[in-house]
Amino acid sequence: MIWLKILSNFIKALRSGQTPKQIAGGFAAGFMIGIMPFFTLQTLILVILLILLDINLAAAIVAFLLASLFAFLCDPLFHSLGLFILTDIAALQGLWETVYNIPVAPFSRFNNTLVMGSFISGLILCIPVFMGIRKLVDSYRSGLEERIAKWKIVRLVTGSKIVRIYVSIRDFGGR
Amino acid sequence: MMRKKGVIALAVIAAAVLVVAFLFRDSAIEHFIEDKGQDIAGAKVELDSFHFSLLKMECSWDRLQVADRNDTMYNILETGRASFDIEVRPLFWKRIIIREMLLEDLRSGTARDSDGRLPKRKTPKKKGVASRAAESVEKKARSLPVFDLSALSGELNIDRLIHADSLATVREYNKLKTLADSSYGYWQEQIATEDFTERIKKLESSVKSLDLKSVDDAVTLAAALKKIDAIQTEAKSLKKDAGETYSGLKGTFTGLRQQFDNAQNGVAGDIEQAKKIARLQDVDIRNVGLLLFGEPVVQRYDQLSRYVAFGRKYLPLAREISGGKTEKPPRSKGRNIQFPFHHRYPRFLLRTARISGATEAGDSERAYFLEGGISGLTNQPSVYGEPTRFSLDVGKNEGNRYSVSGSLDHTGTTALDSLWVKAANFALGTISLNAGGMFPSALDIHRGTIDLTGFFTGNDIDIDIRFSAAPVEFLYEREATDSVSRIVRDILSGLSTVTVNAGIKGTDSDYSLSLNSNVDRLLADKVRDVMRQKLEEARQRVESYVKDEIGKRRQEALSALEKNREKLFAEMDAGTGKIQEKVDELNALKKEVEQRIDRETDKAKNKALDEAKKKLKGLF
Repeated sequence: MIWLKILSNFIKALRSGQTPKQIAGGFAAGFMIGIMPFFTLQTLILVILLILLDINLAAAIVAFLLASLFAFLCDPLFHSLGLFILTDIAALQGLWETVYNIPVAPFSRFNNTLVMGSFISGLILCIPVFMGIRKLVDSYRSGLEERIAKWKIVRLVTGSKIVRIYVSIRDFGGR
Repeated sequence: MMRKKGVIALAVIAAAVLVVAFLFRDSAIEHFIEDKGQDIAGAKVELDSFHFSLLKMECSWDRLQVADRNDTMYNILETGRASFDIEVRPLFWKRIIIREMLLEDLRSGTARDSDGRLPKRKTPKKKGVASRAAESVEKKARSLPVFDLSALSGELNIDRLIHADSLATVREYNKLKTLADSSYGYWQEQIATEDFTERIKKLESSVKSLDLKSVDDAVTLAAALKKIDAIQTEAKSLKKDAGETYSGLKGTFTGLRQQFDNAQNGVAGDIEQAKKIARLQDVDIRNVGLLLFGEPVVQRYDQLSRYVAFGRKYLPLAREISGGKTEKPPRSKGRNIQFPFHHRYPRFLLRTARISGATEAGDSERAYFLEGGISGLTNQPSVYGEPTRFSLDVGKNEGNRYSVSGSLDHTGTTALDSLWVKAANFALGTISLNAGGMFPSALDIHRGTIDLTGFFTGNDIDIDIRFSAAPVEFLYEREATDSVSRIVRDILSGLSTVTVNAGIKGTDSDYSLSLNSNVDRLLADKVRDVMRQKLEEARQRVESYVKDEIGKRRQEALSALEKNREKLFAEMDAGTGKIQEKVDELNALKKEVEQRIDRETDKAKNKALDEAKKKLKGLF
């Protein structure tokens, strides 16, 4: 049920409430967290930012789930990219060596091929993701929602038993 | 842009994390250490009352038990209270460095309340240099020639010990006998193929058919001469064929005879082989030492090699740390790339540990007191740059003392391990010798001294063991029933001290064990003196037995050869005689016909001359 609630909150946020920027910011942050291995220093910083900054949490959670799946599929690609950045670019060797010797830096696990590959990919992808989501929210609010609501798949999902049960439970408290 | 609620939420989360960490830190670290320890020990590791002080960065426990994986109801190691402090600065690089550890009340072999067995896990066993060396040395010790004089202790039953057919010369003569028979068969077939008898008969009938007595004219005689020439050609061809067959036959039998003579050269080798089978070799003192003490030495070396292998497993070399693996890492893991690290902080380092302990607590007369230390114990020796050193002194207040020290230098790409063990005035108890036969089954040692130095450089091993014990008593499983056993016992019973020098050296699975002791020399010398005459007699008996057996087989084979040769040559001689006879007969016949032709020609000539004269007379 928690997943349905998150999804519902996300859809609700798309309609109104927070600004498209806040929703896109939350989505981009969640995307960054989801794409990288979880136990790193940068993930911790991103989670703190997510809590502190006024950005959409539901969008972040949805993005985290989607990005985790994406990261799992792209795992070999991230490894290759990380390996290339860490070992094949001679000009960066000095930088990595310096970072490696900075206190606390090892907690970022930057010297792991997967962490480096996914982090760089996340950094590159989060800008188009941010822009794309902002645009999507704008479009959704200016009529896309009505068109989507007419889609057969959406009608099937919203009319399904599980969604109806969820709505009845949600509204039980006199919402 | 900041979320007020977010700040509160973050503060709440942080506080909750801190509280949980504070409350559960001890048990969490305790479980972590137990898990890691179990991976290394292969049996249960249990910590009691672990405590971590965040402010002082100090850890302590009241008791540590490491179960013996070979006997899980006992601990291989148990300690009392231990305390150590952790350096703060390296933690910023995820490095755990223990400055100093104090380990009290160290004990071994203590009984456990519960079974220390772990659920079985399949771990592929990789053979290290030490275990390969142990295997190699054990294999060599097992393949040593057996020093056994039991054959001399009773009546030597040569027939039972030596099977004549196992002697090379006997086998050779048996082979030659078969060869002689098959050669006979072959040449008989050859003679039959050539059909000499039939061809001789034909020749005889051709000669008979000539019948020249009634012939009186030159023309008929000339025709007969032609026939004789043809028969003579056939006779010559027959003689040539018979000659070829004869020389082939002669060659075969000369060759066989040569092989018979050559076979005699193997007799000396057979005599030596037979002596070996009857265990009448020269007494080799090396064999006695290895036979008596080889197995105990190899067993102790095997134990030692396990410790070395253990050290090598958990103190990897520089190349093993950097990995150099190029294969794909498992999914979701990635590969950690190592960069030059400017601080001498390995991932784990125990700078110094001071160990103390005592057995039989409260009884200072019987108790063994332990004291020692370890320095530089790390899982990244190349980063730390100094070898791991350890030393341990074990001893009683009055009496025996043991001292073990070593250095495990894995800072480079080749492991340099060295070990020194000194044990003085210690009771070793009973050592099983397992030499079998007339030798003692065990050695009871009252007090002994051992001095061991071992160097393990990469795959090279160089170990020297010097051992002396006194007084000693040799123990036997069985009663002495023969003279040799009694002699051996007499010699050993007079021995009060045993000194053994052993060396294990080699590289890359080619390791050799050398061993000598005062027992070897004494036993070999005395046995040699006592047994010399008996040994000589036994050798003579074996020698004449072998010679007789070989002579018998040679005679059998030779008579078969001669019989076959005589038969074939008799047959051939008769044939060639007849052929020669016919050739001679034909020569004589030819001569006679030629003379008769000459006579008849002269006669005809004279007759014609007379007739011509007569006619001329009438004319004039």
